[in-house]
Amino acid sequence: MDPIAGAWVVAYPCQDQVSSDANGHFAVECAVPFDSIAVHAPGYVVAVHLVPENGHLDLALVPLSFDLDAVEVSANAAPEREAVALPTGDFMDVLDATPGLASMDLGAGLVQPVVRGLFGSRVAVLEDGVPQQGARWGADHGALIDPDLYAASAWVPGSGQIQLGPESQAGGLRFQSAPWTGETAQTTTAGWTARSGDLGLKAFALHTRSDSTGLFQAGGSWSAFGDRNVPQSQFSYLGRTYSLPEGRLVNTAGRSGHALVQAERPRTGSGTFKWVVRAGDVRQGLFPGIVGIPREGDLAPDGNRHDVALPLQHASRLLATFKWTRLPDGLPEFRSHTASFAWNRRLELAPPHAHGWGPEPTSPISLELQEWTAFAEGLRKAAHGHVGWQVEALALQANGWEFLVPDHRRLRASSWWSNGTWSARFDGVVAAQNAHSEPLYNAEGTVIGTDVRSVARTWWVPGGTLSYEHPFTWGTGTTGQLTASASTRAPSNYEWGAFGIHHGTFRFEQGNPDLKPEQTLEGRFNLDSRVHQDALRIHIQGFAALHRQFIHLAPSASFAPIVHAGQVYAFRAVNAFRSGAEASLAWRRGPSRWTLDASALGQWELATGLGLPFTTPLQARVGWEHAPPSQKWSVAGGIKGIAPAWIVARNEAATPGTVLFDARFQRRGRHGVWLVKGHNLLNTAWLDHSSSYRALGMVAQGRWVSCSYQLKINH
Amino acid sequence: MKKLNVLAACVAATFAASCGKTDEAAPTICTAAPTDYSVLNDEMDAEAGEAISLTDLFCDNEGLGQVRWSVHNAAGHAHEEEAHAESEFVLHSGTEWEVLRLMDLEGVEAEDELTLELPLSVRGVWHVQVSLVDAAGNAAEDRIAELHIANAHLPAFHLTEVDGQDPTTWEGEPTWAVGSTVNLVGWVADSDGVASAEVSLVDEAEVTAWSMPLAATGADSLAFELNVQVPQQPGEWTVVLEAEDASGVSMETEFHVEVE
Repeated sequence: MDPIAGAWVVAYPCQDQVSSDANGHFAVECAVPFDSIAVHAPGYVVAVHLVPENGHLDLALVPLSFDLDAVEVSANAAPEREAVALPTGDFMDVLDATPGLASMDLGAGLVQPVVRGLFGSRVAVLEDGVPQQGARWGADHGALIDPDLYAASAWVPGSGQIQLGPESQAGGLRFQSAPWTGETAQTTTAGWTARSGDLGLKAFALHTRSDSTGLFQAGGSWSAFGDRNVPQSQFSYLGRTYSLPEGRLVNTAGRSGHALVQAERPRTGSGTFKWVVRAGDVRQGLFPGIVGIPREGDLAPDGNRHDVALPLQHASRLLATFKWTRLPDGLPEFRSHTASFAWNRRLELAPPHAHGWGPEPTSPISLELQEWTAFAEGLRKAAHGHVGWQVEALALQANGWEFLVPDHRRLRASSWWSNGTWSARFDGVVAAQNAHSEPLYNAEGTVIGTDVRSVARTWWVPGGTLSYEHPFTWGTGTTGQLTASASTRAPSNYEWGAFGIHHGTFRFEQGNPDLKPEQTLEGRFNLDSRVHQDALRIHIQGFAALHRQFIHLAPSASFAPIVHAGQVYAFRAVNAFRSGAEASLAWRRGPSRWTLDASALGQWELATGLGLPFTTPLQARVGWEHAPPSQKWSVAGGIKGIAPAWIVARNEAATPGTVLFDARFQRRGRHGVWLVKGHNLLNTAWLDHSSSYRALGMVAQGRWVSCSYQLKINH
Repeated sequence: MKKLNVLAACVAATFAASCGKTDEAAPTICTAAPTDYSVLNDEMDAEAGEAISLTDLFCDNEGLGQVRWSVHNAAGHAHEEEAHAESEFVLHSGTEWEVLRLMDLEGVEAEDELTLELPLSVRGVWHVQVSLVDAAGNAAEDRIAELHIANAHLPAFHLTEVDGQDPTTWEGEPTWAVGSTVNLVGWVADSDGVASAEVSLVDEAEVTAWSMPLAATGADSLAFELNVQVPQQPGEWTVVLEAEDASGVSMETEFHVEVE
């Protein structure tokens, strides 16, 4: 082990600083008794150690390491030890390529992340620690995220993560803005991508200026995509079969735009102030088959693959976050306070059509959900642990002639404590919903009663989390952690109050106001190993969870009173068991690198032995990459096998397995990087078990090849 | 170690508990001797203006839930059970008429009856679709039967040749070339006498691009041969056939063409 010269050592609480000498030695003294030191050295992970005063300490610093690729940069910016960094790139691609994650296919503009088979409100999507709410109104309302406009992202597996909030039973995804480091730099990152298949185009630019006085960042991205290409000529809906001429899903085109403005300024003696404003807007067509009963002519492709017509959805959002962080003088701690406000709106526009015998509406706005949220967090972190609190409030207003969920409000307050090993969080949730009813018509169009869709109700739900984390080290190259947690989750307002048809999932979903909080007991492990001088890297993680009163959608014994909707799916609580594991292996030999990424998941109802819906099937991808060290190019390819999905819920058909091939070529140019990627090279028709379109028997997107160029300019 | 033992016991107990059995058998339509109006028939015939009663028996091993009757026009789609039905050329009228009824069922065997009063405005083929679910939520495969509705009340168009082809031989929608002329041969009949008739070509925005009134004389049958001027705009077009008889009863029917 080589000595590290020039390491910067800070003693707490006096904050006296010294540097290590050429032999790695240092001596630090304080006028007051001190309890810990922090050691900073370029290229190594910052180490905080508890030390006895006048004691002797030998420190081994862990080299700071990350996978650095000219295009894909991984960095972990999450406070959770179990967090796994995600690479940059197309959000759906990243999710589908990461063991344990999947994307629920809602079209190219909206993405519903699936973490270990769970989604919706069970998956927290956090931007700079602030939860994005808009993806919690059902499976077909995805998150508005463009990873190109973040500095880092990570996924956090498992329940009981105290800072992710009580709803995130599956875990969450964290997206972090660029931090201010004090470095003087001015850079512009930009890129574009063109994709065959759905004729997608994307461009983005992100400008960053940083110096000792602060950081400023502004950027935006824009994308357009055409009708989705599918290797399929017909599909079925409600027992009817339709042909798909030209192998494309008509009216699935759209466009999206995202923007970011960020500023961060340090103030001597009062900490650092950070402002982040993000906006997103997605307008995307909805396949006509999912609204009403389509006629054959409705599915005939028009001339322009990028045209969007009714039915369509339009999602917009605005998020403003203010964060104040402070390292108080003379105290060995870190404090931060975050306040955030967000506005989310989802519009669904469809050809006006009557439900049952009611009159035909006059407006194309079938559904409008507007949500205002506020979030605040306080965190006080010291060498021995941290304490914090969160308050999250939302108000949702629903409009349109397609009732989905009643107007509702929700307030959550949480506080937590952690010493790094044991963590506890206490939650209180108060939620309320309004009543909603519509006239009930007979066949002659006469009002004969009232169709009650929701009743006014208020819920008070206490809850909490207790978790135990045990990091361990084996030998010199293996680290890991065992975690056990017990947690509760209050039902979402959607699970309590939904009562309507989803045009994105083709289902009539009904809430249950009598649902009680879920209770979860979960055990997890993860293991990282580097052997043979880093030639072989192994990451394995797994979990087993027992859920009491686990809330999920199940088919009921009744049909929707609407021609174009089938069976009613109702939220109900069952006891369930879930277990799964993910593994990533990378073996480097010379210029070649072999990888294996695999995941397995099982989810069952305990009483019946049936599976839970959308249980991701066993899958593995074997990849090979060749990157000659003296060359500027690399080539890679992979084979992904997906096993048949045999763990299925009631009435859920098993999904056959498949094999998919992909390839990649990358070349570094003078100013940037060229990347050519091919997906589903054999244009295989396969059913994605995590896709909403699977209910129609529609296969996943066919072959596409993308070409992208990305450059970074240092001004 | 003790903690690990507890965890292992929990997992083992969970696996043991997950071996429970549940009712996964879908309910069935178990009509033993189908009448003329049972969904177990592939096809049924009826006359507009009359009332018919569809009767079937439903069974489940543990308990029935609900039956849904959906009666809708057969145009523009096919069901999995009758993949060739869409190739059948039928001039439908009154396609907006449809019936949807939900009925809760109890026990392991229950009969349900749906009475349909067929309006005088309908002619063509309708699908009678029966969806069935049991109390546990197991859904049966939908059963679809065709209901052929004849109509002696409305004037009737018969097309014998379109663009040199017998339309009954079409598979899917016909395709016409932009700017071409398409020959339409047929006749329109009504026992009260045909007072007026017209053929027109309408675009997706329901704007008429071409129309031709037929020279009606009040006779029971009016033969015609027309040359349709296909417009220059490609897209989805509709040939609309309208007629009115001497007693003032009017009828409209249509078929779709792809112009490219």
